Amino acid sequence: MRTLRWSLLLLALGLLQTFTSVIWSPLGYVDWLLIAVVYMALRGSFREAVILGAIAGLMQDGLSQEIVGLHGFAKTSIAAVIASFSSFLVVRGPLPEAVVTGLASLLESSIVIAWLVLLGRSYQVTGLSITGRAIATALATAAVWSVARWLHQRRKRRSRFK
Amino acid sequence: MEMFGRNAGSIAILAGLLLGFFILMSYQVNRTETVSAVEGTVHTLTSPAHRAVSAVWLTLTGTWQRYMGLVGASSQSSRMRERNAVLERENSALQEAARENARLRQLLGLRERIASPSLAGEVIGREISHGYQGLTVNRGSWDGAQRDSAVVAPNGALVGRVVQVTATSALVQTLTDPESAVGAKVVRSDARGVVHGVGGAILELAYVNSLEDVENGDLVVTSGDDGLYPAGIPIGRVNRVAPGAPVPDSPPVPLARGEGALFLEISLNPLVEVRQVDYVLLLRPLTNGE
Repeated sequence: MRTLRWSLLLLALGLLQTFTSVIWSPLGYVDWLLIAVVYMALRGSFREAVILGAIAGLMQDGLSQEIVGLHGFAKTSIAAVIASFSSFLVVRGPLPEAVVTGLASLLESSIVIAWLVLLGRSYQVTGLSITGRAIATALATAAVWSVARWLHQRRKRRSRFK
Repeated sequence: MEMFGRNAGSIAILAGLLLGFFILMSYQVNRTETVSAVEGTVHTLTSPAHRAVSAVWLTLTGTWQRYMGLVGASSQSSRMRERNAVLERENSALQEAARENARLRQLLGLRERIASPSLAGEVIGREISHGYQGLTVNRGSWDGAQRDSAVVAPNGALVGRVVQVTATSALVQTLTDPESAVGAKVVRSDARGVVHGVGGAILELAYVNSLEDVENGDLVVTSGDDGLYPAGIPIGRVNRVAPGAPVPDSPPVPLARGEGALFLEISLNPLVEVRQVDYVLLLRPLTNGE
């Protein structure tokens, strides 16, 4: 059930990633799949995080026209790194998680560019777009967690009154 | 090391995945196909959802755009209605101005035709009750209005007579007032009588000898016999002629016209609808010898 829920969530996030730019172009910079991967890496087990990263990366590869495995490799690596650190460094709250997600986005872009260079492929990404992507993803993370926290507290207050 | 030892299985999975991705990427580098099996699988999995979301999105945006279009159309329609109302008001005002202009021209023409001095005035009040029918004109003694002045409409027809003058206005007794009486004659036959109101919109020509020649459609004008109204002002047209009440001791019926009755019963349609008169001319009252 948990796997199915995460699979559906990833599918939804993948679709969200392709559609949000239609609504408002700056939203296209947000890496919604990475937010999910970082969330799982900070809270779940190492194995779960790595598998989720792989699936999310593969989905992103499938939805984009890039080399299949590129984002899979990058997101799996990021999930592994964050999951490793999360065992001795607890990161909670919208702002710290936003910073971690922003750094993860920068790392992912670095890994992707490194692979493209190694594979002899051309790439058309600039420092500005990489930074923009990292900032947008970090801001989206902060926004999502703020809303989630508010909803959680509201539900908690209601259940206390009942 | 301890951590890695505990998660040897996870490390193995990670290593396997990374190696798999590496092989996958290396495999694709020298291939020319643009769509790999993985891409195809992902697209196959995501395309129904993609299509559904796309359809929902297109429906939503289409609905939104139509809604915005309707809002825009509604707003434009509202503006057009307001504009239309303004134009209608302007058009109405222009038409009224044109009508007023025509009436004033008519009045001016009439004033030039009439030999006696006259004073143009505007009707500012109407009083039509059971016992009295009158108009108030915005000309008074300060303007030169005088009691007993004949009042005529822009088309030259008689409206009535000034019965009271204040400093700034004059009260006119109309022809249709039952108390009004005007010396009149039939233009065609010169039959003479007295025109007076009967309380409604029509007039009565009384005291016309039953032997006189009067027919429907005959024009009746002022005769000047009463010393109040100048002669020749049109009053109305005959619309009904009937023998009057028989004289007592006259021969039994059937009676030929004129037999047994002193006067004819004659109804007139006035040439002017006094309730609709807006402008009038006040003629200088007749003095002895005029």
